[in-house]
Amino acid sequence: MKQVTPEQRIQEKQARKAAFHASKFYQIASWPFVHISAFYKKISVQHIKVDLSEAQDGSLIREIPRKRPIGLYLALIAFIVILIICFIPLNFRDVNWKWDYFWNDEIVRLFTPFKYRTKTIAGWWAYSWKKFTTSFSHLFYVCFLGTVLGSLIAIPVYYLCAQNVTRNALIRTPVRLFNDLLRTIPMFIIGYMISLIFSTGSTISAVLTVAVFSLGIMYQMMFEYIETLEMSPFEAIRSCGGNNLQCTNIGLHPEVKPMFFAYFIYTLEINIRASVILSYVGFQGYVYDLQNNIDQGWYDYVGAMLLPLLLVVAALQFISNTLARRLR
Amino acid sequence: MIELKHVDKIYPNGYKALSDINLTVKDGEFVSIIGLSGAGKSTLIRCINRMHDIQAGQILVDGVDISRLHGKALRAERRNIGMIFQSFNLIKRASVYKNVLAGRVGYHNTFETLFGIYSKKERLLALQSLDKFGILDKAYVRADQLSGGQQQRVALARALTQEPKLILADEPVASLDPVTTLSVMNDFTRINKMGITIIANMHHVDLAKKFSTRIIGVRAGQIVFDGKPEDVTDEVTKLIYGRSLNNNEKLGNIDDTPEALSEDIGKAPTLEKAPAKASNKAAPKKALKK
Amino acid sequence: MSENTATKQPSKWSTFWGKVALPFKKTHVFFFGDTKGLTHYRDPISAYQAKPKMWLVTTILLVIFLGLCFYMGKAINIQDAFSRPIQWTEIGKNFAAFFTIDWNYFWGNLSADQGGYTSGVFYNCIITFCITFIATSIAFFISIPLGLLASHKLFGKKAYFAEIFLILIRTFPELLLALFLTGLTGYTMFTAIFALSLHSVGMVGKLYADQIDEADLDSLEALDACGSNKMQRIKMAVMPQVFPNFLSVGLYRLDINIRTGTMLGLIVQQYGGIGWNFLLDFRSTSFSRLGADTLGIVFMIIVVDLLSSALRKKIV
Repeated sequence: MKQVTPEQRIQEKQARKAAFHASKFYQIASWPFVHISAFYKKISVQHIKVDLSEAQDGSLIREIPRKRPIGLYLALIAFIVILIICFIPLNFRDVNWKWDYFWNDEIVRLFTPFKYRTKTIAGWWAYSWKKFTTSFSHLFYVCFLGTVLGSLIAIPVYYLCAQNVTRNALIRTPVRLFNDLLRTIPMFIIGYMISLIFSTGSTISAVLTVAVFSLGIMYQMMFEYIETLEMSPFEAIRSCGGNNLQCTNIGLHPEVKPMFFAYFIYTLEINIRASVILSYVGFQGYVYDLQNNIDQGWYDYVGAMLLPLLLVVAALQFISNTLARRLR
Repeated sequence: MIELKHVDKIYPNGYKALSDINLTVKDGEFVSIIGLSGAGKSTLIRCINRMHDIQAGQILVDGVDISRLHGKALRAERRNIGMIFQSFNLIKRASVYKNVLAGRVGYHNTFETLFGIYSKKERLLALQSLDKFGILDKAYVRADQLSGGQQQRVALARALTQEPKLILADEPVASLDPVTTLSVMNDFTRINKMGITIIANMHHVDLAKKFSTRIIGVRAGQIVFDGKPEDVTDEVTKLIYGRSLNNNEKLGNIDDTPEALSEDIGKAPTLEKAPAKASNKAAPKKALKK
Repeated sequence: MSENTATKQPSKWSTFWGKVALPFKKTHVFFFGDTKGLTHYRDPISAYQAKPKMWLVTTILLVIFLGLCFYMGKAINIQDAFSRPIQWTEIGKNFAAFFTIDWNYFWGNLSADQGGYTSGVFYNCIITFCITFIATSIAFFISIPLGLLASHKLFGKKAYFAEIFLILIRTFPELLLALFLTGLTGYTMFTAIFALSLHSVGMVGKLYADQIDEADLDSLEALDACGSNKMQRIKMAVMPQVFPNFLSVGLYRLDINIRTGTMLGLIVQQYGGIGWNFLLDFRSTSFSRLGADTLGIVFMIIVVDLLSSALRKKIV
């Protein structure tokens, strides 16, 4: 068999490419593109005549080419057009602004104790504490356990998705596609599908929903971080005689661990905010009680229930922010 | 004994990095490879370790053709070859002790390395290797808090922990300052006296001439010079680099270094011999080279 | 300020806390290693005996963590999960119906008594996208001044006001904000847009403030030396650097808002969008329609995700 050297292979490829360019089909099919690109090149440069002479009498005129950012202009026009089109299908029929009602009856009543329910300010705080320890803790435990489960399962998955660890695209691409699909499905759909398997409303479905959802969030952030890591310790352990798993575990994992914890807390915070929707898909809990209270107009209960949510989410945001900033 | 027979390496884009290399290195030699950047020095060294694959020829390390091995056999061969990199390649967030212990991964299966299960003798071996280079005090310090010379010594200790027969060094002193360069090269000489073959890439001809026992010149993927350091004259450098070197391209006067070359650090550390505990007299503290 | 720090005396409280923390620091050195290389080991055996025992710390932390997890599991009654046996045949039937999609319903070819075109999935997806796009664009423009006001580098201590306002807006989930704002503006799509944009202003404003704090602002001083006022300085020094980052943040927010925009219709019908379709089909448990809804949602999110990541790669 004739040995084809790499140089010959490259020459054959170039010869085939030149033959295709000379064929009639290519010449006809590429005529509009050639002219459009020539037009684009012409309008993308603006020649400015500048008079550089000292006496400004037109004796030393030079032409300076200035680039026009055509892409930006087109993007701006497209943005405005889409924005205008977006107003068409919507209807704003029943909009009436009720400022008084909003301020006096909603916002102020959030924090004033009402004479038939929470009798005093101490009663307001007592109700708040009771709801915090029972129903908000329920929500928090569900989210925490779900995030823990999801993150632990995600650990091998995001190593499989990263390009510098898994060079084999046959393993990487399906895992990435599956995870992308997982990330696009909103939480309530996942909650609904999982609650089909177990009975609707049981806590294990909520925990599994949060786990699957956090798998989708964590893998995206983690594999982008892994691709920015240096592969030098990986190579060093490889030269000491390690297989892939040993190289990853000893070389890369110590770098990844701190970032993992920072993203874990970030995911926990996202999950708490997103699991609000779960109560509409059948898991009675904190938000179900909250909606009941709003519907019945018991705004002091509403205010008392909102306070733990506010504090916990703000605390988690603060922690995840400081961690992410320290580690970067 | 390392033999390269008719080795060819061609990159996927058609560029021929090594053409028809024939080389034999006996045990105990200190070989330096010099040449221009891009001449194929790094490729040659990495092919011996099978970090790059070769397209033709054989590489025999102690009679075993490393270019045809796969999987477990390849890893078993690789643990006899230690490698030192230009950018030290340490695990930055781990302690020095863990970095040196990582040299033993070739001797364990995956499960044991996952949980960090090394035997007590191996741990003592790691600490002994650190002691040979005088950085035992820094054993539990995070690896990125050391200076450049100390980090290269940690890399040397990691290579020693593998109990290798051969050490490959890919421009080991390129990112160090001049004084540290000489200390690290002295450490290489001490390792060579323990009986370990060393093949090193050098980009400074003077360093190669002073510290090695054999010099190989590579130009455009071929070996153009193979001989003793005394035989490297101006003509030879013209052959390798294309022109002779000026005065400001040489290292200068390195004959009167402040430290003695013959300071011995003893034999290579092994698993079987347990070290004796030091007596209560305060041992003379080895000067820490920054 | 550098002269003050050089001559500052340590206060008695700092030495007091230093003394209190000393035993903790000693165990810290034992457990986490000698970070400055201050100890001197005479030989390898004594170094081996002085090794920090990380396995002890790891086991203790693991035990505490597992204990917490078990306590949480018990508190939410997770052991009731398998009290009812899983009926696999019914689940199989449901999933089969889920994956056979009702295409008439998907494209809106419904008769007038079933709601006509406006009940179909396609139309409602477009409505959801419109609501989200408008909300994100409003949030993008409004949060530029708010983000500037909340950055500590530009405004120092006065940035805390804007920051607290942003935190207040940000910590409420969008759905609760929407429920609240119905008291203000009634049950319309405008409320949905308002709630979504208010929440996005909080998140995006904070990200803007972070970007400004990370940017290189030495040119602010140079412009101050030329004699420009505050607004001019910000426009010339800050905006050219951070505006591409702002755009990329805005696109990322669009990506996330699409996912929450689908949920808005779940609560109230008049908020519009595909959530209401989902709620109707969920209540009546018609699985083939649910499959069509899911397909519509997933398709819309994938399209917006691809567009936004392609644009983001171009901007950076």
